Amino acid sequence: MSLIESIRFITPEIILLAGAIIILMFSLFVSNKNVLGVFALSAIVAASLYLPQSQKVEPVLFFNMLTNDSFSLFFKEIILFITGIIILISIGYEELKEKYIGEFFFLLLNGAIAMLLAVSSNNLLMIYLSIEMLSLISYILVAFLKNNTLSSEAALKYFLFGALSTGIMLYGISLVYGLFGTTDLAMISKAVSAGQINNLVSLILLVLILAGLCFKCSLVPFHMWAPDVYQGAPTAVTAFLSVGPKAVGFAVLLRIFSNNFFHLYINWVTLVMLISIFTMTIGNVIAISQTNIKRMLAYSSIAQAGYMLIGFVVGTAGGIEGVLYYIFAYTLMNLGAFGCVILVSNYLKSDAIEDYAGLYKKDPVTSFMLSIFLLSLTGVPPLAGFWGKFLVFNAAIQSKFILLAVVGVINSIVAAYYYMRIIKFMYLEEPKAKEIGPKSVPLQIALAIVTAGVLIAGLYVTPFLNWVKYSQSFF
Amino acid sequence: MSGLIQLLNSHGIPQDFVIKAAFYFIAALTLLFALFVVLSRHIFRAAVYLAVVLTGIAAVYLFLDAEFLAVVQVLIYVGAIVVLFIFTVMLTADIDSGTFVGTLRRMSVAAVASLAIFFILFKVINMVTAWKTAVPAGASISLSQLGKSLMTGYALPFEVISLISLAALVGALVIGKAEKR
Repeated sequence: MSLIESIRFITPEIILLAGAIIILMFSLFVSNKNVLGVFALSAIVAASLYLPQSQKVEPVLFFNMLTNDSFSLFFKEIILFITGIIILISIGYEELKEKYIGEFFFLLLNGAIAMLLAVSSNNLLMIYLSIEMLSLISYILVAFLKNNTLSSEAALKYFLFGALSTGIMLYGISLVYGLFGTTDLAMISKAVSAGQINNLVSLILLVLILAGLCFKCSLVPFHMWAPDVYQGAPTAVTAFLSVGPKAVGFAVLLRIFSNNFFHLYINWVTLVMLISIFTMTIGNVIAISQTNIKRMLAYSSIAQAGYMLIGFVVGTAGGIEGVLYYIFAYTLMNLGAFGCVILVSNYLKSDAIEDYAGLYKKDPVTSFMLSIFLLSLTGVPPLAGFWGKFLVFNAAIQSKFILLAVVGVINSIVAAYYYMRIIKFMYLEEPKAKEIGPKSVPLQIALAIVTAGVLIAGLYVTPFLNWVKYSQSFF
Repeated sequence: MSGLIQLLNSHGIPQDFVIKAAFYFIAALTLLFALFVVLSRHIFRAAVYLAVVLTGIAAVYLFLDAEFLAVVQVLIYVGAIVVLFIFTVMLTADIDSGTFVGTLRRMSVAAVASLAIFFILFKVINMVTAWKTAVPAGASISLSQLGKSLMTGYALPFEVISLISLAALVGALVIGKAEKR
């Protein structure tokens, strides 16, 4: 397919870019958060209407820089959904001043473009560039509250960690290029399956590339940035970081390792299994002692990534389906949890868990929704989070990864403690004397959508299972 | 350069030897200055040493027949990035007055870690002897070929880079702009 014909397949990206630039220019005259936000939202809706459908035959786009399979389509849908919800959340987030709001939406839409490109990239160069673009935008968004020292410190830490891990990954990519003379994943995949690669060398390559992706998914040992960044960043950005880059990281991880480097499975499986076990355990154990809800959710999201990794370690079709469903469920419940945190912090002006005491009496709707998200994160049936855990643990048991399944289940029980603790605070403790203020409508719409998602994906699971089954095939 | 080689040849010194000697000299110099960058107590001096290191790397590219890359290396890294470093150091109050000395323990940990990584990578690079390049080694790439590939096979990444710079520009403005009190 020629260059011009390929352009049709990046229509969503082009729509988002046009929307972003128009917002940037409009923000010179209009500084109303709602107007710009609604415009950004309509760009997202337009982009999702123009998502290219997957083809029967693999199209060669931009000289095989991009692909258009059902796997990338799945992630594109999730990414557009995430960005839409984040826009709704940011309209209702009071700490975000109207001053630079045009720039904020511009960067958010550009982040969406970077994520869309990353999940459909079929070339290590494109993967590197789009992940780098996403990281760069994330650093800026974290520093967005620039008079807040926590926000600046978080951005600096995030940047330093990010630069290091990107450097390591780039070194790995350069070795891949040296070995195969190409960065095209399809050609690399052919050479790998022809067995042209030494085992030790391949292990080093995989470790180096894994390092960069572990950073994006906040997996141990590249998780240290997450708590500080999640706490310091504006909460709307935290919600974005906890789901967006993580979904992209897993998409790229699955594409490179489960598809193209699958012949080296034996080489990477033990390593990734160890990463999974440590990620789950460290995330959960440290989360127990947290007093700030954003920090607690940061450690919880580290642990959740560990569960997702189980399906990736298993590597069978069932395992990958589990990862995809888990990412979908995790997106819903984490966006919801952070949305509730924003709603509460808008009137409490605090993120301390103690201040959630007796919230049930003052704000029953929000407490109920937050409880649903926390129960879903715990994995209580019949919510969406339960099916995610069920699918990955089931896949692990069927492929005889008993140790992984056992560690996963034990960790889920440990995690139940700190999720339930918040519910206990909200329902059983005596309230502190603080009035609740007016609640933002767009934020409530976002929460309603996400709550409905968690309930429907849990109670009426069959169509979603069919969706991930259809989506787990690469070309 | 070629005149010098002829002169040496006429004295019975082979060309290979000259090129090798030049390479080892430049490599040693680059490494020495790289050490200075890490060990220097003043950040300003470290930035100047870094300029030397980057020029040395440009020279290594010349040995690899990558003339264009060498020129770009000098223009962008030495010309722009090191200058940017120096400007930042000058504009940041007091950054040069303090000395950046790591404790002996930290420095030794860092040294052990980086040496370990060095030996692992060195072993890997030595194990594989058939390293490949997209074009046969030694063939020089003309600028027009480079331009053509930027407009065909690499058109999309090329455009994405422009998007990255746009986002970075907007971000730099947001973060760097002074707030009115």
